[in-house]
This record gives sequence, C-alpha cells and structure tokens, in this order.
Amino acid sequence: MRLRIIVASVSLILSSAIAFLLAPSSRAPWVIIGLLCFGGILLFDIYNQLPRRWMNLVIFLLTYALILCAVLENTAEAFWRDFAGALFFTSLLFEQNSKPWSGFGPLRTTVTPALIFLMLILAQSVPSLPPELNYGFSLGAIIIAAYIELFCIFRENTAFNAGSFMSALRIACAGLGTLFYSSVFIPEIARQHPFNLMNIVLPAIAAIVALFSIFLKHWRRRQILFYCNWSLFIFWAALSGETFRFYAAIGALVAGVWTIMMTDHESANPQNQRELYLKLSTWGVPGSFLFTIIIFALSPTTDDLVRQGSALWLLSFFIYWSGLRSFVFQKERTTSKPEWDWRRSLALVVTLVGASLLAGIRVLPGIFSEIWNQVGGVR
Amino acid sequence: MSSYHLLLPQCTILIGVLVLALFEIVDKKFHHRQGWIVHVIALSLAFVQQLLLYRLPASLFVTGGMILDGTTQLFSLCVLLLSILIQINRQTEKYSSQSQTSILTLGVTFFCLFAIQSNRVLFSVISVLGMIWLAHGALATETKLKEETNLIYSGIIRGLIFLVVGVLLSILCISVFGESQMDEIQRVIVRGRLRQPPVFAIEVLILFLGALVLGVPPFGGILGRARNHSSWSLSLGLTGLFAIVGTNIFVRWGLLVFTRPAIGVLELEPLTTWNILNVIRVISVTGLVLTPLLAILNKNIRGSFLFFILNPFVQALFALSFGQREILGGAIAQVVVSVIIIGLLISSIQALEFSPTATLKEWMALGRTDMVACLSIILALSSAAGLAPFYGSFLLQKTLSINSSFGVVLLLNMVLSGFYVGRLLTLAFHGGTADSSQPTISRTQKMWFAAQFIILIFMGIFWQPLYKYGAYSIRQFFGEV
Repeated sequence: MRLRIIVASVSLILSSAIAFLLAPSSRAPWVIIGLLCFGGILLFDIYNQLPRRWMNLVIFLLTYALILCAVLENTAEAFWRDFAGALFFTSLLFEQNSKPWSGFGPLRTTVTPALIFLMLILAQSVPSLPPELNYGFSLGAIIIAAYIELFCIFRENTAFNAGSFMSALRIACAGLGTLFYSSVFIPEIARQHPFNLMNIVLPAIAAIVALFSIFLKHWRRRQILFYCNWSLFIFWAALSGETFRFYAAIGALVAGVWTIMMTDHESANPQNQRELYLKLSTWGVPGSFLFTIIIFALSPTTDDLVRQGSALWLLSFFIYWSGLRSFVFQKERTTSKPEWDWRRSLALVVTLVGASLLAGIRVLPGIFSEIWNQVGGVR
Repeated sequence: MSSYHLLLPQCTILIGVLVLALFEIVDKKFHHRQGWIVHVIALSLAFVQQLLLYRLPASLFVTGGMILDGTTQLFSLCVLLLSILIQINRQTEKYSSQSQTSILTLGVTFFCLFAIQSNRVLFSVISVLGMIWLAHGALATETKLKEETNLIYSGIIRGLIFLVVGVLLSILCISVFGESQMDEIQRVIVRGRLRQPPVFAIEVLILFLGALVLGVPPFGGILGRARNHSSWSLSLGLTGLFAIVGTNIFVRWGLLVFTRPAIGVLELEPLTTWNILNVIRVISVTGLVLTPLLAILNKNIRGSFLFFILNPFVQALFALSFGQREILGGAIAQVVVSVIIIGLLISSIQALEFSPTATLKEWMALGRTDMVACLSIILALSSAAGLAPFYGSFLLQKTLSINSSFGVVLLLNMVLSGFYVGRLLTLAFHGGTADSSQPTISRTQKMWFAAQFIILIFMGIFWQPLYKYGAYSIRQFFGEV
C-alpha cells in the first residue's frame, strides 16, 4: 500500500511539474489548481480507497493527466475531447469501485451520462448548426457533468458511494473543466439573451434537485445531490462573469474536493474529541464556504438576473439544509474503524484553520470596513 | 538498392515457414516452444526489415509488379505487428502446440504482405486466395476433429467464390485496359475514352471484393463459421488481418486507380462518371450503422467482438471516402491504432479463458473478480468505439462533419458504440454473483496489458504525430513523390 501511495504521489508531482514547465504563464495557475484538487484527493484519502488497487491509481493518474492536457489545450475542440476523456475515466472508476448493484437499467450507471456528455460535445460538429445551438449543447454537457451521480441515485447501495474518492474526483474534473471553459473558451453569446437567463435557470435546476432531495430518506443520497448542486454552483459563479465570484468558485471547488475526502464515513465517537471535531469541521468547511459564497452571490451587483439567481441559490441551499430536520443519528454500518492517523490530524488542522480563515476572508474585511465607516460617520 | 530488396520480409517469413515445416517433417514431436520461438523470430525480423525499407525511393517501385509507397509500407507494418501480437498471445494458448497452425498462420502473413504490396490485381487476387485457404486451414486445426473437414471445405468454397470474382475482375481489367497493373490502369482511364459499362463493372467488382475481405456488414467476412470455435487469438487476429487487407483493397484498387489529385487543392477527384468516393461512403455508412448494431444484438461474446473490432476500420473507410489529404492521413493512422486495439483485446480476453461459445451471462460481474483483464477489454472496446480520449474520438468526427452531413452517421455510430461499451461496462461491475473459477492473471500478463494500453492511450492523447505520419504516407496519392 505504501509503495502505491509513493508511486502515485511522485507521478502526480512529476506530471504537475512537467505541465507547469510546459504551460504558458496564463495557464500555470490552472495546473496549480489541478494539483490542489487531485493532490488533496490523494492526501486526504483517510480510508485509503484510492491506493487499494493499482488499477485505481492508474486511472486516477490518467484522469489527472487528461485534465492537465485539457487546461493546456489551445482549441475548444481539444479541450472538450480531453475533458470528455477525463469524465469517462471518472465514471469508469466510479463503476469499478462502487458498491454492487443489480445492473439493470442503462440510465442508472454513471457511464451513460459520461457518454451523453461526449455525444453532446460531438453534436456541436454537426454542420450548419447555429452558434446558439452549439452553445446549448455545451451547456447541456456541463449540466450533465455536474449531475453525473444523479443518474445512479436510485440504484441499490448507492448511498455508500457518498463521500467516496469517486465523488471527489467527479467534482474536481467537472469543476476544473467548467471553470476553465468559463474562463477561456466561453463564447460571447453566453452573456447575451437568451443565455443570460442561465443566471436564473441554473439555480432553478438546483432548487428543483434540492426539493427532490427532501424526498430521499437516506441522508447520504442527499449528500450526493448536494455535491452535484455544488458543482453547478461553481459553474454558475464562474458564468456570472464577475471576478470575485470566479475566485470564490475556485475556492469552493478546492474546499469541496478536500472535504469530501476528509469526511468521516462512520459515526464519530463522542469519547474521542478529535473525531468529533473532524466530523463537525468537515461539515463546517463546505458550510462556511457555502455561506461565504452566498454572501458573495448576494453582494451588490448591477445584473438583476445574477441577483435573482443568488436568491434562488440561497433558497436551494436552504431547502437542502432543511432536509436535515429528519436526520437521525443512528449507528452506521462499519466493519473496521480506521485508527486516527496523521492524515486525520492534518485534515482537522486544515478544516479548523482553513474554515475560519476562508470563511472570514471576504466577510470580515467588509464588516470591519462597514463598522469603520459607521463609526466614522457617527464622529 | 534493387527491387529485390522489397521481398526481404517475405523471404524471411518464407524461411520461417520452411524451418517450421522442416521441424514438422523431421521430428513430428518437436516441442511447440521451439516452433513458437522460430515463428516470433521470423515475424520480428520481417518487421524490422520492413521498417528499414522506408529508405527505398517509392517512385522506383510503384511502376513495377510491386508497390512500396508510404501507405503500403504502413499497412505492411500493421500486418506484421498484428501477426507478432497474435503470436505473442498464443504463447499461453493451449492450442499453440499444433505446429500446423503455426505454419499456416505464418503463411497467412506471407500472403498478406503480397496482397498489400502487389501492383497487379491478378497477383493480389491469388494472394488473398492463399490467405483465405490458409486462414481456414489454421482455424480448422483448432476445432474438433469431426468439424475440421467441414470447415476446410467451407474455406475452399469461399476461396473459390473469391477466386471466381477475382479472376473475372482480372480478365475485365486486362480486356478493358490491356493490363492488370494498377498504375497503368489509372493512366489509361486518365488518357483514353473508355466505354463506361465495363469500367463500371470493374468498380463494382472491386468494391464488392473490398467489402467482402474487410468483412463490412452485411458480408460478415469470408472466414465464416471457421472463426466461431477456434482460439480467441486466431479468430480475432485473422479478422484483423483480413480487415487490413480489405482496407488496402479500397485504397489501392479503388482510390488510387479511379481518382487523381485535383489541381490546386489537396483533394482527390473521381476519374469516372460513377463517383467511387460516394459509393465507398455509402458502403461505409452502412457499415457504420450495422457494425455496432450487430455487436449489440449478438448475445455471444465472440460474435459481438468480431463485429465490433471492425468498427475502427469502418470509421477509417468512411474517412477515406472523403478523398481529402488530411482526412486520409487520419484514416490511415486509424488502421495503425486498430492493430493495437486488437492486440490488447486478444491478450485480455485470452487471459480470462472464455470459451468460444461464452455469452454475456459469463461476462456479468466479471469486473468484480478479474478487474484488470476486464478493464483492458473495456478500454480496448472504448478505443474501437472511438470514445474520448482514444484516437479518432473527435478528430474524424469533427473533420468529417464539417465536410458533409454524412457526419451525422458517424455520430450515430458513436452513440451505438457508446451504448455497447456502456452496457458491457455496467454488466461487468454489477452486483451479480461472479464466477470464482476464473483463472488468476499473472503479473507478467498484467504488465503486458498495461504496456499495450499505455501505447493505445498515448496514441489517443498525442495524436498529432500519428496524424502527420498518416498524411505523410499518402503523399504519393497527391503526386508529391
């Protein structure tokens, strides 16, 4: 196991270094973000899910290599191709590591959305299609990428796939791909009517999914949907076209990927304070981020649609959190509880320090500034 | 350097055949390992020699009885590489002890090279006939004794049908053009005013033979039932060899003869009133739909794989039908990739020791017990389907779609192929009870899978050099050499 981890880490660092050296300066930050996401998956894999098999590591590294290729490509076609390949490998990893299921129903596998994604990309090349339709296909592909796990939500045992490295990998791929696309290749029509309506449509989709999640009994399934929504939220933040939202989306992406890997799958032992803190803080980080970003989202903007979209996001997350009312603390099915190790300690430190810092990084200066002005105004 | 150098790889293979035959005659009980080694050495040596033949100036040989331009060179290398892959995989084959099989398969490779490199239709027909008979013989050695005779007779009949059509074609060529030499035929078409009906008949016969040898559905190949009960390596491998030769027939007998480079553009223009490019497109479009569809409908694993490995060849044929330099380059490269796909598929499926009559039932939940081999098969099939990030995933589709609305059919092909791969993948990892009696795969085998997979994925990710090499190989089509 140790050998596998070492090989994977070295390969990850080496490929990042090569990509960093080859990348033009404008693309270098994307390599770093990729390393943060994928390195985080490897680093915070507290259950050692990933290095359990060589095949997992090979496909994981291939996926990373494809994402690196995608963010270094010069043309949109080549970018989509690499992105589609990365999603295909992600779905392959999902299938090979997911809990066994009956196998009936092609729509209940994650491979189907990965293939639909590919077809939507390929459909853009059909001759004499208007650019609006082409962009529509791209949007459809991105939404599919965000909701890959929605397809398998009804299959047996899928709840136990929540919080797995496959989920984290899916968020990392979808997040990086959509952010990069929004930043580099997005066409001008994306900001014009009717595509500017996406600022409302995307949160509306998320609100519908959040409503749907209320009816799911198992909280782990709701967690899966929450992360799907989060992927879409990242895309929306980047799509709104404002710089601070874009950076917030990058932060949300990294935090989302890390915390999925940090989250304790078993019920925390109240006797062990560290476990309890880790459990709470890992839930706290996405929460903190979420509300930070919502504050970003609600912050003053000239665009009415973005403002209404922000409100819809707030509503959808509220619906999601309201589902916790039916949360029942019950003994999770555990076979072997892993020992507390350095990874968990690191995770705890990162979540506690990171959450507080990151949550406050935007809010606190604003509040201080407001207070300062108020005080100054009084004087 | 003389034109005899062209025959060096064939001579090496012939020596290999003779050595194996000598083993067979002198010592009937020679250890199969010795035969295997001789076979591999002969093929490897021929491969290296073929590789070194790139130094020959192509213009010197294209007018003679043999051709060695870029395309021929590439196809010959593909044949030799696939033969090597088949033979390497046969090391663990329980039938590989049969020396006759080894001699016959080496003979198939020998005739394959002649079929590709011959500049005369008649010689190519004879070579393909040799391939058919030897391939049927090799496949028959791996079946039950009582079936052998039936299969050999069926092979002889198929060969005869091919021979009849081939001889008819040769006679027509000689009577209409006074030659069966391909570059001469092209010159006559360019120069003279010919009566169109005989030329039309020649074109029809060529396209029929090409489709027959390639195995484009609904023809289903000329190996017929013989493939159904033999080893995995031979049944898939020989299908691949025939597919390469079939593609070569379309390129060499069809495109090279009945088209010429248009002035000022990098495109081929038809020389006859019947546009052969359009007809090839219709044939390939039929194949694009039927190949994955028949693979999906076939419950037998072997049957479905035999259809599906033709998919990249049909995609290549579709690209060839556009007659544009860049796309032709991509199509030729696709044939090279197909060889690796077939190699990976053979090695992984052979490791699982599936019976020839295995159905999808045996496939179910296989990924839970033997993930490496199962994933290798899935990835080989994904590559054959042309899914991203494997070679041809976007390149062909996007380029072709720009040129014609027929590109939608390629999209449909990918949808059907995607469904096929998706279904296999789902079944491989579903929650059924897996057969625990599956053989364990050794570390060496795993590394062998990994090596082939890495080559395959690199070909997909770093496609530009391959694309350029493919385009380089067809320079002669555009009069650049």
